[in-house]
Order: sequence, then structure tokens, then C-alpha cells
Amino acid sequence: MKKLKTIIKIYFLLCILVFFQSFFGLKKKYACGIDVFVRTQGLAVWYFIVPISVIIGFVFLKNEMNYNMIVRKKNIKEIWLDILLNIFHSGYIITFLLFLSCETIAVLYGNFYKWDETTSLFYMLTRGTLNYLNLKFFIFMYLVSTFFYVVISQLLVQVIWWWTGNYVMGMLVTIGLFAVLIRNGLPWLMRSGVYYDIWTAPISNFYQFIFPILLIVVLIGLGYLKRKRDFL
Amino acid sequence: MEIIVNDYTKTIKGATVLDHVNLKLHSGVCYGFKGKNGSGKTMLMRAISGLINPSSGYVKIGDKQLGKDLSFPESIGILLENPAFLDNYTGYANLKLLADIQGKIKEKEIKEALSAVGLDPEDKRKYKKYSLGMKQKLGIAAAVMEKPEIVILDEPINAIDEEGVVLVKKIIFEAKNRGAIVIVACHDKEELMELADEIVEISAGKIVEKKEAV
Repeated sequence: MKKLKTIIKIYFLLCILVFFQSFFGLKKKYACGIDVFVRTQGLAVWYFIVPISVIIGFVFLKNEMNYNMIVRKKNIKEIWLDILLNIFHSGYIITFLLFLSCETIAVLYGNFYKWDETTSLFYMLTRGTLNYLNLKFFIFMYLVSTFFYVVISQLLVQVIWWWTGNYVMGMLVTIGLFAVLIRNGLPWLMRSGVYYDIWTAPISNFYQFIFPILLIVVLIGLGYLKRKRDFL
Repeated sequence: MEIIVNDYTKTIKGATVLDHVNLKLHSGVCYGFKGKNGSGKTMLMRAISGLINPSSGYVKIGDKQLGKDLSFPESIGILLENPAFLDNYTGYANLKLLADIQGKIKEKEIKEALSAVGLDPEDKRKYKKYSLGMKQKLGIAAAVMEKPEIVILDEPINAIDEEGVVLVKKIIFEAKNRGAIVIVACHDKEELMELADEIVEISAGKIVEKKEAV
């Protein structure tokens, strides 16, 4: 019951964030419902999805990594495993809630899909129109890329905390790193989201799936590699 | 059971917080850690509970070395400086959450522990609404509810009313009498003398004196 209440609270919070994000980011007369989803991806990832993820990760750390919990665990590996499980749980929960929030706000636009018109935001940004939108592909890509962003950003913060003991540093480094990488157009980070460009210049499976999965495996390994010494 | 702290040194960011500490602790004895603020009492408690690892030296719990044979003592209950609980959970829910990690005890024992410190197991108030004394009592209940072999209590009577102090003393004596190693740190000299069988005085990260409480 408590978890459900927390999930509902996060959902409403995300709805408010998505609303403001799309309200300030979209020219209403050109925008459609699908644009709301796009607005939480692409360049917006570093100041939207990443901060939300690391803050939720911070709350977890504050609540679950206290000395009462720690001394009751069998060993250090079990603690790292707990952290990983939490990251993956929050990964799909945040992804689903963000999708639901975007869907909720998208309904407010009335016009769900307008990328086949020259008055659309899509045309404004790509100088082209899209006659056929594969909605299943769109939703699938949105869910996959959001999940990867949530998991990778949280993993990065937790790995930095695991190695240095400093969570705030992990948060700042992660948000900063994503900001720099996305602004400089690193292929995976720039293109994996449901960004307008993806429809005119498809990207490879390597950047879409294999690279993020490899990154996740490496980050998980870094946690197992280091035996955390102090819980201060 | 025996805890051996052997030539234990801990350095954090260049500062030596524990300096070549040697100590032997035995079952059924209550040890009182005495010292000024920042003398290293809490750090030594953290060292014994496995929350920090040594720069040199070691801690042995029985015949197992912390950090080598095991990460944390197998049976330990601790209360350090500030009790650590979830704000939006009731006292009972917080203890249940902790008890479920090892699954050693059930609802009955949790409620008994709450009653023993003078808290109502049916209290529906959330932890964030608790007074300072109630938070402290919940911390003590969490430390002793599983009847651990090692009980570590840092300033257990802080902010607790007179009635509560009597209950806490009773809990400490019970833990000692069932054969646990009890470690208590307390600023109040008289209370410490009353609680402890042996006094361990710590200063600047070193043990300067170990004597029987009189």
C-alpha cells in the first residue's frame, strides 16, 4: 500500500514536470501528442530523465543503506546485488510512469499525431514530413531508451559512490557527463531516444542496444570488482 | 564468544581516528566506552561492527576475521549516534523491515522489543512524528530485538526520560545476562559506572585505560 502511494505520488510529480517541460518547449500550434514524448528525450535527457533517476537513487541510498540494514546483510556482495536489483526495479517503474505521464499530458494536446503536415514541429526541425508513424516502434523505442538512461545514470552514480563513498559527487559527475556527451552528440546518447532525427536517419542496433547493454555490464562489474571498505 | 581487536589502526583522509587499538571483549560482560567527543568511541564501535575496515590490524569475532572471513558479525545489533529508520513507516513497520532481512524473528518478538523499551507496538504514528526520545527507544529496540550476541549502543540514554532510562538499563542487563557482549558509550560517568562491568577509556583514537567499573 505504501509503495503504491509512493508510485502514485511520483506519477503526479512526473505529470507536472512533463507538463512544464512540454509547455515551455513546444510551440502549441505546431505541437502534437507525440511531441510530448520527444520533449523528454534527445537533448532533454541530461536535465530531465537523468536528474529524476539520480534523485530517486539518492532516496534509495538514504533509506536502504543505513547501518541497521547493512549489518544485517550476509556480505558486501549482497549489498551490491541489492543496489543492482533496486536500480533495475526503479528502471522499469520510472520508465513506465514517465510513459504514462507523457501519455496523460499528450491527451491535453488533442491532436495526437501531426508529423505529416508542414505546420508540424517535426517539419520545422527536419524540413520533412512523416506520412506513416509506426506507433508500436515509437513506443518500444521510447520505453527501451528511457529504461537504458535510467539504469545507466543510476548505475554510474552508485558505482562512483561505491568507489569513493561520495554520492553527491556521483550525482554531479553523472549529470555533468550526460550534459557534455549529449551536447557533443555522442552517437548513442544523442540518437537512441525518440528524437526527431531518428526518423530521418536511422541508427544501428549497436548504438541502440548493444552499446548500452555493454555499458551496463561494465558498470555492474566495476561494483563487484571493488570491495567497498567503509560505510560511514 | 570473544572479540579481539588487534593493533587496529584506521586512517580517514589523513587523520588517524583509531591508533593501534588492542582490546579483548568477552561474552556476558558489559563494556563502557568512555572518552571526549571525537575521541574514537564511535569509530571503534563501527570497526567492531564491520562498518569500517582497518588501515592495518584486524578485528576477530570468535575465530573469524572481519573483512576476510566475514563482512559483518553474524549476530549483532547496533545503535549509533542517530537512529536510522524510514520516516514514513511506523515504529513497528520499521522493525519489521529490518527483521525480514534475516528472518530470525516474527511479529511477536518485534512487539515484545517495542514494549520492552516503552513504545506501543500498535502506535500508528509515523517515525517522523516521533519525539527524540521515542526515536532513541526505537533504535534500542532494533538493536536488541533479535537477541544478538553482540549489542552495541552509542549514547543509549540520550534524550530518554527517567522511566525510559530504567527500561534501557533493564534491557542492557538482560542482554548481558543471556551472554551477549554489550558495548555502551555514555557521557554520563555515573550512568556508565552503573551499566558497565569494565570501563574502556579512549582518547585521540587510543585506548588509554581499561579498568573494572567501581
